[in-house]
Amino acid sequence: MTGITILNPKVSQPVTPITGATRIADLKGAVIGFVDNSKQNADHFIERVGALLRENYGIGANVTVRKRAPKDELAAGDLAELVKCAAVIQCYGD
Amino acid sequence: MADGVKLEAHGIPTATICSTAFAGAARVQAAGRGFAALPIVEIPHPMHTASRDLVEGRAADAAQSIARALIEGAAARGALGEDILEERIEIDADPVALQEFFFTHGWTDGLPVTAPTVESVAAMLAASGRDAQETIGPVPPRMRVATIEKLAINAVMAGCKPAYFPVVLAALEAVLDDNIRLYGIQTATNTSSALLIVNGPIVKALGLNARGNVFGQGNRANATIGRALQLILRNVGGDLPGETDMATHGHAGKYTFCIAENEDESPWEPLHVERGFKVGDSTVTAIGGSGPQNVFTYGCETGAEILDHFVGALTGLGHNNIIFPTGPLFVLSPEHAQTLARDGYDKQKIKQHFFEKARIPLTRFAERSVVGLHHRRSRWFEIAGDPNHIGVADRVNDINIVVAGGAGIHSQFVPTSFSYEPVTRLIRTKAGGTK
Repeated sequence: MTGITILNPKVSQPVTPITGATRIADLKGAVIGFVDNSKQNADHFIERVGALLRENYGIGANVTVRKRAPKDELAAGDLAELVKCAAVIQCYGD
Repeated sequence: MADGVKLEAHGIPTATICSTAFAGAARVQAAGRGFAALPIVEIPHPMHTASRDLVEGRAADAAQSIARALIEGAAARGALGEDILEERIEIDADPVALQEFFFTHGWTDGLPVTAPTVESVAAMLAASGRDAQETIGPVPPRMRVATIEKLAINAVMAGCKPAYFPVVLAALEAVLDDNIRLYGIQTATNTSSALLIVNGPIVKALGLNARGNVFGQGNRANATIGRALQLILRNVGGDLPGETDMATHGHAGKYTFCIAENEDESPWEPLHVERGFKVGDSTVTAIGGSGPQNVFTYGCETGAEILDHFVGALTGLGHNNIIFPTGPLFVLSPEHAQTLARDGYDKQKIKQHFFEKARIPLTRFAERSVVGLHHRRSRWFEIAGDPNHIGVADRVNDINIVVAGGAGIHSQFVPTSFSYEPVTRLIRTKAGGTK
């Protein structure tokens, strides 16, 4: 067998891990943020989830931001509102 | 998903809702951004076409899991398995065995590739004048950073000559500009791929094709420069069909999508000069584009008649420039360009004509679509002051026109998407100038 040396075109580098947020201990009274990424029906989904979380878990106020397009990054103003929330639910990949 | 990782990094617990068709891809992308334990709550697919009752039923089914995700989080689930090999591989030089190795380890786009030997990669690197360990990135969707050497390896595999490599590097720099929105192009269900348009003296110097079959087969420079970029996006960015590339159909531009402007036969100033560069600069312009739609102006004799046909293509339902504010691209054949110029049109007048005439009555859309258009294209409604129609661009100068192709009464409408605007980069050659 005649051999050659070839070089690997792929990149497999370790990613700097992010430490996830401390989970919320209790949803009761918590201000929950929702991200509507403008996919069809995300608004209806959020409305129903919000109502159920209020009914079953006693969450506090909702904050909902709506992205212009699903793949857009969160606008700075929207991010500033969301980081004031106790937790955020994002809807949705579809 | 990306928003979820960002919010978690800000100390906000999240739950990301994903339909079953896309949850796997979301996990891979989250791991690429450093948070494999992003809590993802799966719901049935599809949601887009579900009735309101079904949507609300699925919301009810998911509510408990969402609460649990916020309170308990999720265990890290590893990214879909990746084949990790050594950087230098000793291998049987038999051509058949080599190609089977490349296919087995997912190095190719589905076509055979040139073996990236140490010597061929060194030659490719030498043509760039760049440091082999200089890095470019991160490249979405797995957000990896590549050395110039890694990029040279992929350029060799694509079949590039070393002289093409500076164009490949400029192309990558262009598509990584935030205005291109490469992450969206690479991961969406939509049919989009980064189109490259080359201008300037380098077109002739490298033998790029700007004439007949400009989108088609036969030219090594067009084919391999475009392919090198796509191999980089695959092997460096990690964009793999079914894992992160979720295109419903994709298109041939995901193999290669590179043209040159036919500056010799254009009656107008070329794209790169419109975009602020000197005529003697060599540049590459990138934009997210779908497959070209042919516009055949059978029987048309005047510029006005030709434009009527173009407007007809733009006012069909379903193309991306109705939903995306990107601004359509028209690739005019030299014959069309010369007829239009004869009849008093230049690029600006054509753009103005498209802006004014290519408008679709909102009565042609379903009510939910109109609601979506008011949201996605809000800038059009603010600027155009036309509440009853949707245009194909928010502003006149969002429309782009280039002249390319050979003989014939055909031009190409390239629906564009994701990109906020095209991005143009100078091609830096080894000598430090732009060829």
